Amino acid sequence: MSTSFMIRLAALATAGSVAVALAATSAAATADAPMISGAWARATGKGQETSAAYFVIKGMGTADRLVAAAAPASVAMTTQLHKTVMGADGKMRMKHVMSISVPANGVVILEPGGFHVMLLKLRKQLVAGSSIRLTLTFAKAGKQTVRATVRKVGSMPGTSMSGNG
Amino acid sequence: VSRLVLLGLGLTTLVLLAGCGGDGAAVEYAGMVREPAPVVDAAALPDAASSGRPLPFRAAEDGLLLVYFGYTQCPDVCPTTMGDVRTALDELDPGQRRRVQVAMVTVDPDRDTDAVLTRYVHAFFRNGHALRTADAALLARVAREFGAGYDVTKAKDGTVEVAHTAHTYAVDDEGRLRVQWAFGTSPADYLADIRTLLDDTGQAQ
Repeated sequence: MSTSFMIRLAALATAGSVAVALAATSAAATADAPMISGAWARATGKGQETSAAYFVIKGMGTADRLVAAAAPASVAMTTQLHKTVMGADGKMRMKHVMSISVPANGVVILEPGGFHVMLLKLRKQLVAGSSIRLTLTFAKAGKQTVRATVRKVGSMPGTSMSGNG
Repeated sequence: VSRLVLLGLGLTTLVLLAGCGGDGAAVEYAGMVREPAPVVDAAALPDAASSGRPLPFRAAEDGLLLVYFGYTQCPDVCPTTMGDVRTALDELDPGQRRRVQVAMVTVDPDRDTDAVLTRYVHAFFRNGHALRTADAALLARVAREFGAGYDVTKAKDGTVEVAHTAHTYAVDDEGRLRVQWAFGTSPADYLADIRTLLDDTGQAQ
């Protein structure tokens, strides 16, 4: 086997992998919407006017931002993206955030005590076992709809906050 | 610098000594134990769930009173805590469960009316106490005894922002604050600590 043949083979292989990589990139670019999983909302008691919804966002090839999360008007009149923060004074408060950044290939977890979708002016009781529709809007990837299961829990077992208990 | 280090070591030693002191084997809690235990039963607050009858911050004999300062329009922190405490209490056997009472104190009495607060607390705990006073000085005094803090501010657009420390406090039948848990405590940790406290309270007699 001649050296020049080996080099040609290597060059061919390189060209091939570049082509594959390009194909993968373009495929990702068309299906770049962040992936949502584990969506849930907390059940409410009668007459309770607020609740929160949580989910996990998996970023794809390009960074994006979640800019809105809307519930049907029959469920909640208003929704806002919020982050619970603890001040230096030890007090916890909610910050209204304009967007939640999703890094490329990164994971953002909306969970109790952190980012959440605040559901305001609830129009109906959220009953455990039912589900609500959430329409999420990303700055680049546009809208997608997910169903959030209503759960009668505080934190969710298995999420990072509550450990693996 | 070396003096500072020595001072630091000295303080550490003191803390360690204090930790080792006390009567007998140290009991381990997931929550925080304050020394000396604050006594919190000097004041009482009206229980909206019981026609406004004042509830002293003292558990029934051999019992525990769990106290939380929050507000009902809190979508994240308060229901997370309430839900996790409920999950823990649901694991107790009926005999132990009967010895634990839960009380929520609203730091937002303007919006949390007696009816709203009672309904909220009862959504989590069927026999929970809904403590509410419009007397700002009394509320502040009670909060100070526990070491709880809160701010309610109204923005120009009418939205109300509430900031509050989000601990859950366990008070014994002598009005002593035995353990306090930070936000984010797991149901398993609440449960373990509550069982330890109940065992301890039962044996003390």
